[in-house]
Amino acid sequence: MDPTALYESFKALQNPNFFQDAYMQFYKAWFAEDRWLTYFKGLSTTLYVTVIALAIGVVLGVLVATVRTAHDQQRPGRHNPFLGIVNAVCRVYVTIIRGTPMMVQLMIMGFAVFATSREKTLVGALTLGINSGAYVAEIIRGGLMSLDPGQMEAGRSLGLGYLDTMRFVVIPQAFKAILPSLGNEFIVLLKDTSLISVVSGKEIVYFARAIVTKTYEPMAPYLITAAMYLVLVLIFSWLQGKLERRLRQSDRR
Amino acid sequence: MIDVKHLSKAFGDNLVLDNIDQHIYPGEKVVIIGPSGSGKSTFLRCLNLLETPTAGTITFDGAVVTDPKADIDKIRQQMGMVFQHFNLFPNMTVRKNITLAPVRTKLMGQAEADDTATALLKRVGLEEKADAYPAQLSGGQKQRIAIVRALAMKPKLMLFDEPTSALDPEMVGEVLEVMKELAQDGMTMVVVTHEMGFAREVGSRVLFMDEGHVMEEGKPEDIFSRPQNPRLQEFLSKVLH
Amino acid sequence: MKKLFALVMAAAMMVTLLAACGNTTTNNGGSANNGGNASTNEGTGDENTGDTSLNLVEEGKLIMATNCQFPPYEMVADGTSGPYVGEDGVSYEGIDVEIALAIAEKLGLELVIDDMDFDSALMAVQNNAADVVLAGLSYREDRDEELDFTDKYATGIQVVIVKEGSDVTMDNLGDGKLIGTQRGTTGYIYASDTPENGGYGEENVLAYDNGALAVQALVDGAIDAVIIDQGPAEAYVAANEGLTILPGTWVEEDYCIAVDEGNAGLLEAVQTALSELQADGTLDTIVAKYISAE
Repeated sequence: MDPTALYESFKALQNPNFFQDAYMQFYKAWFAEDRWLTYFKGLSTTLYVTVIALAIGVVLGVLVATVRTAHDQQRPGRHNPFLGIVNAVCRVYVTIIRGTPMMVQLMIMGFAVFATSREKTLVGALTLGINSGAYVAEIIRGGLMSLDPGQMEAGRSLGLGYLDTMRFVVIPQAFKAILPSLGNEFIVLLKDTSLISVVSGKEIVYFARAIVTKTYEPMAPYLITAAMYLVLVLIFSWLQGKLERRLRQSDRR
Repeated sequence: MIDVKHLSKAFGDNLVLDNIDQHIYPGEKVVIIGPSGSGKSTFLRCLNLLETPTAGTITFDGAVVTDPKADIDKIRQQMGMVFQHFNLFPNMTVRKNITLAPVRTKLMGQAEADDTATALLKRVGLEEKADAYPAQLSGGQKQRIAIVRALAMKPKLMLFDEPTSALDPEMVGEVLEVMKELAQDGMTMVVVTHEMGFAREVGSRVLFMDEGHVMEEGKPEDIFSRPQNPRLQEFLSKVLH
Repeated sequence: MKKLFALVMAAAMMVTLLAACGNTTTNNGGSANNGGNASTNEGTGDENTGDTSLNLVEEGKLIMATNCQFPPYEMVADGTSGPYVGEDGVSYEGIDVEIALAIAEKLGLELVIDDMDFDSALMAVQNNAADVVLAGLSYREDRDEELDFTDKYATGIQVVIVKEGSDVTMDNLGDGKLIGTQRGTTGYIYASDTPENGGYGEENVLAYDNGALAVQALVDGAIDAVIIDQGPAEAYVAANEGLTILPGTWVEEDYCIAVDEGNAGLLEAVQTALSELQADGTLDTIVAKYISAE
């Protein structure tokens, strides 16, 4: 049945029941004026911000984790002073980011540091990326550190350099170990993009709110928003599960 | 070949090695025995700098291993090491385990490394396992592969850190057999082990370590038949009965 | 201990400030009179600078900061159906949007609308991130210290929405009733003031990001009343069964356009354009389009 016709028929009712009323709310929040397109406009921003933030987060995370691990695994008596300074910077970065709320970081970046910027969506993505970087760094570092030190020793005792051992022995194994945590971090990041509406980023929540100011009924737009996030997360979890199963096959062959 | 002077190693306040002087000559098969916690593994791991000595110098073929400026990777390429827990790389096939280091250190090309791997695997009777992953092998097979992996670098010296301690009893023999053959080929070896039979049969010199000191050293027949040090006597009475 | 705490706090804030300042100075571009130094201009009024240039953030553009959650003054249009469509494909409509379009046309500038939270919009002009604020913005003396205002272009009437059959009246709002408002609006500022100053006390007033959330809280019984502008109030009451507007007005205010304190050239240009629109009836036409005169 045509949704509009259904809506009109319910609207004509004197006393619509709960379901008929719910359908009318949904109709106004989704079909009316082609509003469903609006959510997808927001969704594309959400994905765009997630991808940018993820890229920044992974690059930052790998850099910081490399510095931190390399610093901790230096031979005693052969400390590199430059590495020491960079390591200290990395530690301060991780501590501050993990010790302050995402929301406050967004406000500081959006209203203080980049107060004059008008690309607030980008500022939001940058902030999310910087935030994510700290968590990714700790996940990677944890994965590298949790690996049996015998693996590093075996590589080094064969005469392989630190970087070669990392590249061929440690990182491939650590990657498999950290994949679930990285996946979770990605899901958190995806959901955290909803926070950038604080600095006026135009993602799904922004458009849901805009639709509420037209329909004056917040229930349906926010439920639709929640459903869209849920679908995204489910799709991603499914992909992640597939990848993990494939990687695990090499263990059992 | 290896010259150790005044070697000390402390973990925090715990002095594990106390002022050790040793010299290992080419072709020697030095077997280190002693109770656990005596510092014998630490001594072995100091030789290729897996542990950094607190004091003292180690010289290998004229190169000062303990010098912070030494190219430790170059030195380690000439010292093979076999670990108690094998430490094979689980993410690679057996062949890749063996050829990774020779190829990456530009010791040989991939083709030559593959040939070397095949030849060495044949020697230890595991050529059909070249494309298997470590998880599919038994403990004894893993340790034999680990020995092959070290040998592929054509080292001048082999270090063995309790190579049979983590094995089920029925697999100890196959690993010791490989080590004996290696000894017969004239490889210089330093072996930390609890296998007294191996020490007696293969060792050219036995070191008894306790509390960070070399308490007694000598030919196997002297050590096992006429122990002088009371600690050694006590140790032998425990392990041989 | 106290000293140490003070020191740590100071250090932390310094870092933040340095970061903020560093950026402000680099982005200042050509315009000199900006928010941070408002204290030097304080009290001297609008016409002291004698600078008649427009002092725009970007050449050829009139950037308008607003909060498009405030029907019928500004809202996000469905699809691209509004009179304004931004570069990012988001379209806006409303009284303020159309007034701004008309003013920009008169000034020969391209209008750019930046949608943000209401309190952010006020900061945007001070931070030199926007030229003008049109956001159903009421004139207030304390705002006049940071912003310069035009004459009023509309009258904002704030009313009180309550549930039908509620015992709340205009007179007993202060008796421990929980009141919802929109964050940063005059409704919030007045209501959350102390009883001596005519408010109801901070503890009795909740600030919501937008009017819809406040109204929903009222529907759910979380709060007893919502103070909000008349236009949206009528729409909310029509859309939500069981709500009613208390008779009488809670406060009447003048809606004005604001520019950054001391930007006299722009203020004058906008004022002139606004006066012309008022005189030729354009303003009334725009208002009538969105608010049906009953």
